[in-house]
Amino acid sequence: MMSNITGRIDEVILSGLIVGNGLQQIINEACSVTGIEATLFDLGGNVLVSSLCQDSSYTVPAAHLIHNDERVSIMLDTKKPVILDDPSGSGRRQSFCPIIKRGSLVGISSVSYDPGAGDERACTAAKRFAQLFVYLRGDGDDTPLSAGSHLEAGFARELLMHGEDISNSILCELFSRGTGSPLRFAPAFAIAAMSVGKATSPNEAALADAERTVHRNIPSSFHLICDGLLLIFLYGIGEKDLSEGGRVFLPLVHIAQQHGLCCGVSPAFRDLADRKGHKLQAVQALLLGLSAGSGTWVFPASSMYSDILISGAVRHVGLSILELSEVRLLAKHDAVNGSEYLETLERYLCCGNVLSFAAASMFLDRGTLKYRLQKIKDILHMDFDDPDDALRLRLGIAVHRLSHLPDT
Amino acid sequence: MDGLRTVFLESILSNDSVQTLFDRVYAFMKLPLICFDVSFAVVAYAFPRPYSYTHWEDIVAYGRASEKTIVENEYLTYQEFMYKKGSSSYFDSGTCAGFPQACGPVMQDGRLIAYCGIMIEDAGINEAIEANDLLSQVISVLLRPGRSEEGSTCVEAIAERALLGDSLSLESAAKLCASYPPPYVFVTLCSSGKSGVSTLEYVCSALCADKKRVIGCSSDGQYIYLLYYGLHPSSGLPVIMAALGDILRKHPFDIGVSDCFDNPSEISGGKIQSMLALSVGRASAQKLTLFQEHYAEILGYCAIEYFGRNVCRLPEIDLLAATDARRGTEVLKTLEAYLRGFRRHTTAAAALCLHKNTVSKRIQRIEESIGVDLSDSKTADRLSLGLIMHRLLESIAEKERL
Repeated sequence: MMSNITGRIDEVILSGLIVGNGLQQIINEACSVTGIEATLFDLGGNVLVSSLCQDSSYTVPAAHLIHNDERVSIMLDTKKPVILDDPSGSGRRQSFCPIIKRGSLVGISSVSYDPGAGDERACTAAKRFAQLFVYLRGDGDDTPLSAGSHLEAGFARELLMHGEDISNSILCELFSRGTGSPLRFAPAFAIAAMSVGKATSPNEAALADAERTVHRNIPSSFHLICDGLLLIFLYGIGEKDLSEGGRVFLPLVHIAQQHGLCCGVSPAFRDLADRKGHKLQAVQALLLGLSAGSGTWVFPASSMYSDILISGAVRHVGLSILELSEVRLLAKHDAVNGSEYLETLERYLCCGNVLSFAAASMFLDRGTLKYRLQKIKDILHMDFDDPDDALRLRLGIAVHRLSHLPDT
Repeated sequence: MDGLRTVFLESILSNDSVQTLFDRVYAFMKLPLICFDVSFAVVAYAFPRPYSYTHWEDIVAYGRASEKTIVENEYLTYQEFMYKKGSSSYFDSGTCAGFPQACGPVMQDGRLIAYCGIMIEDAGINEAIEANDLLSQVISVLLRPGRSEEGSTCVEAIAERALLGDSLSLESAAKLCASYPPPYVFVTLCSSGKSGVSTLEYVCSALCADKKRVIGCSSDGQYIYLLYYGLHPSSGLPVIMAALGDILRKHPFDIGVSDCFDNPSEISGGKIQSMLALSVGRASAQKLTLFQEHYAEILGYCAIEYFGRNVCRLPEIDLLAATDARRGTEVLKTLEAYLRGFRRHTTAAAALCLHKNTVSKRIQRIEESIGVDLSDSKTADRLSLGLIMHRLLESIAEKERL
């Protein structure tokens, strides 16, 4: 048993995380199957978590060493584990390693063991408990979520809040050690973002309810709530699952309807490295859909390609940078004189610069439209029948129309 | 040297002009000396004329060195050497052959503002170098804009701070507007690595010469920022383009030009526009890029920065590009010409030098292969943008390969 404590500990930790056990329970189980004892201290030497009763004969010597042995202080400075003999004369050894959270020292992990277990394995065990502490108590709370386990919540964070390569995550590492193969997602993937309609403040209760429904109805997903958005990472998506009536699209519509939410969905993608950009697409689809006020529940980003690209560009550098001087001039003229030149120009360009077609779409006489267009040309000093100028103006007007879009 | 130091000190305390300083120094040392700014325009001189050293004589006679002379004699190479050394050096070869001299840069707050030199004649080399170093420091003091608080509030200082990115108070903006009225255009020139600081300063001073309605400054040893002001509505931009085109023919720069704007508070926005134009120009190997002319690419570039490259691709365009690659067709080119020609078969046919019916058939096949209706304007816009993204991503990838 003692010769393979590292493997046994990883197995117990993994199982504990999957079922949603707390830190104390996982440590107790890990220690009971391996015969080691573990105690985690804060930097003041106070016990945070221990596999034993507080007055145990193993905890006290560890605390004593922390307070009195210089080598423990050196360990904290150098961040390198240290192994000391138990001062109580029991013949056991104590392995200490630092607990580091986001580059800062926050505590000490200690493991008490029989020398037969092996110094190196004991050090690894101490490090593993330190990692587990940071993972579970990193945000100050390790109470299980109401939906999903710690493992799922952690993975959801890594998938939805970060863009780095996930193969380096502790979760992937644990899975690969525990099961012999890394956790695999089957592509294709997609990301959905849900929020309330045009309410003035986010409705956390509705989002939490919706999250529970997602957990039940869309099993191939990870999800979390952040900044007033329910973010859902979908995997194992087939070719038509995101089209209207598709296997994934329909449940999203139902969930959105049921909870009074709206949802933006990214296109399907295969490379996890692109997940950050696709999440941004889903959020932009949601915002654009909400601002359009179409009464639809789900807004696929694939049907809003132009608007999403333009809104992303605007978010990146700011509206004032991307607003064209010609469009601003025309908008200002309209505001001052009560004219509708910007809309007239926009409709003319949308109709492919065909006068009769544009006039009919605006219920105007050809002559009236021609007159207006000439006025616009006089203001702008440009020929918008030139293809390049026409494209520029179409895009510039689309940028201008985004000025009403709210921030995330 | 002690006597020389006294002369320098008296000049400073008397608030002398640089010319008066030079007259005093010449009276003391009897050695010819000269100072000219980064555009090779004379600031001060002291030697009997006509002087046998033609390079100095011509600068004084014409007020500045001609561009032809600067280029033919590689003046900028000598000046760059002086700048990089940061202090005076001994020159007696090349254009200085037969006229040994100590020359060095004049620096002010870390910026190169002028050069000065002393003919050595019968003086000691080390003494002349030491004297020239001291001379350059005194010139820097005498040329300082204002040693009081007023120096920092004068409009040139305000303009320079605005060009370098500082935000303007309402009062400063009003002062700027009064001296440099709108409309404005912001231009960023970026040295493509081969030019030194001397060239940068020279080009900046050449562009900002009198009556050109432009103010500018250099930055980071790599950039020149220019603000053109009081532009004429129709002829303003062509004049700017002509001046910049002239610079591009002679010096290795990349240039980005902003859109027009009316408010000095938008200078920082104009700067960002010009930098975006510069970035897009570099991605597509263009030397001079206007924000307005490359607006679509700039939007695309910003979208790529925000979402990432793969996310910005349009699957339909990728499909057509794959068809072209596989079969050697020109499907994308046809689509591009069609969309650019306002979806008129005749216009596209003329651009592609094809018959109208050929274009019509090709468009039909495109519609069938990607399942779209090109008569719908929203679809047309989507594909237009998708094509722009495709070309932009291709040129970025090509540039990275090189």
